[in-house]
Amino acid sequence: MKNTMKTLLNTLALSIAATFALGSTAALAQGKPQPSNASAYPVAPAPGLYQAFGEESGIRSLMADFVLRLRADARIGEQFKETNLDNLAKQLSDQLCQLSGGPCVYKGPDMKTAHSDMDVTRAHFNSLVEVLQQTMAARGISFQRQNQMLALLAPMHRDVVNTP
Amino acid sequence: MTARPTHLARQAFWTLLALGLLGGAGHAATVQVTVLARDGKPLPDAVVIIEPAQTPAAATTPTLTPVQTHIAQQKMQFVPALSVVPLGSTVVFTNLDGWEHHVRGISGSLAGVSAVPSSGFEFRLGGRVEGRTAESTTVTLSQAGPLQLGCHLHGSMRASVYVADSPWVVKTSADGVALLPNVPEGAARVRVWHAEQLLEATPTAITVGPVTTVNVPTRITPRRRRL
Amino acid sequence: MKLHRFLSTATPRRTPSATALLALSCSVWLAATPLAHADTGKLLLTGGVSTIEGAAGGGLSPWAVIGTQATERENGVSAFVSRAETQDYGLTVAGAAVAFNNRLELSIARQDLNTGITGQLLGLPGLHLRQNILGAKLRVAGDAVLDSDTWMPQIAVGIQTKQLQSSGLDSTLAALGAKRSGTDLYVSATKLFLAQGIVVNGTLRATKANQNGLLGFGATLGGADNGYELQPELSVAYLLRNNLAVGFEYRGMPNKLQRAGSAAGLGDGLRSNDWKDLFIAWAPSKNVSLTAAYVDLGRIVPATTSNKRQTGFYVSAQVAF
Repeated sequence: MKNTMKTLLNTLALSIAATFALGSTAALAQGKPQPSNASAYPVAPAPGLYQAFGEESGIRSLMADFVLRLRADARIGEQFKETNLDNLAKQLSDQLCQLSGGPCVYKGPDMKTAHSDMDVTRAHFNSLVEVLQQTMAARGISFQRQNQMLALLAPMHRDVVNTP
Repeated sequence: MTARPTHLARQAFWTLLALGLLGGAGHAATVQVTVLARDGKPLPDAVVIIEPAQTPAAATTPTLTPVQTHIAQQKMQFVPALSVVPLGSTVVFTNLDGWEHHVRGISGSLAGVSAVPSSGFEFRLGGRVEGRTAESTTVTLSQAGPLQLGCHLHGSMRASVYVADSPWVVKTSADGVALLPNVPEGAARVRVWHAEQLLEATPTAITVGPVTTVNVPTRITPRRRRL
Repeated sequence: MKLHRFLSTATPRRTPSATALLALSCSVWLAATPLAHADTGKLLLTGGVSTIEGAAGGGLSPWAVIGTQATERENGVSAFVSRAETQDYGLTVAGAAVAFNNRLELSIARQDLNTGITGQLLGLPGLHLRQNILGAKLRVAGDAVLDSDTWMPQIAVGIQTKQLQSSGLDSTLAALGAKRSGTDLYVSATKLFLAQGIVVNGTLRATKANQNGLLGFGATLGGADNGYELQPELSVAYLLRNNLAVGFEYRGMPNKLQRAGSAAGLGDGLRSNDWKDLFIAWAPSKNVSLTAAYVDLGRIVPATTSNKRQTGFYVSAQVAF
């Protein structure tokens, strides 16, 4: 019994290690991403992520839907009362397009500056993540791809959440 | 015993004469106004306007010379947030951010709320590119009173320009203090204008003397900014 | 407050005033600060489920995550009920937890083990072993969910004070040199590897508890080493959807009673094994989670259970705000 357990544990450990090795080799192939206004904490995108989201047009369409859902959300909609949603959708599209490996260049403000005029709590950030998950799910994007995109955006909480 | 009152009276006479000579023909004085926010703390970036009851003769009123001032767009803010300039001045708007801004200026109080169309301007400035000079536009201010600035792309970007048509318009410092020189002595009204104040409060009536300090409490709560 | 009433019935006899004071201060603190709303707070399943000891984590191991649905600047509560049945034993657990600012977690659990055949053969038919566990956990570093650009996990330290209630087994435990109360100390490191959708937890526990404490703490008969020992625990979960996870847990168990049992003439009759399970956790809503697992608790008093490995099912339901 103990041997089966040991084997199981070893297999598990190996499969986890393999997943990371795969991820990091892909990252090495693309080169380590540099910090930019798009993200101060860059993460190498999973291979094929940009294509999985429908490339630039797919991302623009997704963000157009996303900003409407943000404005309509009961928890954080107020934060977007004065926001020019068209401009926000364009900025987000450039950002996600760039971070996911696309050819775009995000030219907007860094995340700290962009949120300096509002109070953002961790609860707000979590709500935004949920709205993004809903938006991606509504577009039929697989759970795995959703998580790969979220992995690019999640560390931004350090700059966006300014009300600890 | 009778000698002392005479001595004092003579002293008073000479002091008053000296003051009268120093004060000039119109007896103008410096008025120090401290504006307080709702919480009692000093309120910076408030515009203090003193309106003397009797407008002095044109010869003694300091002339208003138009100036050229600069307002930059930097880190999603207009810098400075408040400018006070004489009527006819020009403003050079320069975009120092790496992304574009669409600047809108609307003259008149209650801008946007009033049904009467107010005058204004709108222009686009592209983002600054490294190695090239920043884009800028110059606007001439021909309407007196407050001018509200905003950015069509970034709803939280706001600033103001107060276009003065009298010499007694000064903005408060970081300590909430405005020093207005050459205010004619006598009755006057003190008005306070602030971007966060929807309606102006009733002006404070004062009497300007040789040395005048005024405290103006308000119900204004200034916007907080993180960066 | 329900929590207070629960605590007063479950208070260990030794320090009733301290526990009551703790409960009272919690109630006051909770009442004074905003409770997490039903629709805000943590992302789904990121508060873990309730362990059989009351702390937030997997089913068997406490994780570094702070429980309830509350996130920073919020306070939260959760409550759970769990049931496990193996060939010869039945375990029921109920408990609750409160969490403050996603930083501190306080928990309570009451375990009730129906000893079945073992009780019978010990001349104590219908014997139930009951244990109360008070836990505290403090998050000390890291973020388990959002730090996808680093290998750094979320780290928490915790303490569990356990009190085994008096029962017909008292004299047997005394004879073996096992105490009826003990304290576990642990440190956990948890991380969600976001891009891969895998949660990994490692816990290192300093303990003397025999079968989690249900058979007392430590053993001195036969010259057994009665000191604290370090036991490793590992959980790995794979997220199938944002509200559905499958996983595996492994929890090392001390084996202090084996030697004592041998000295008492029982051979290997009191030997114990490590615990393991395969589980599936589902959160139909933000406030409810259901867990089902296949557990293998190894031998529990093999002397009376024909040396069988105790395997069976485990179910748990938790509500959290």
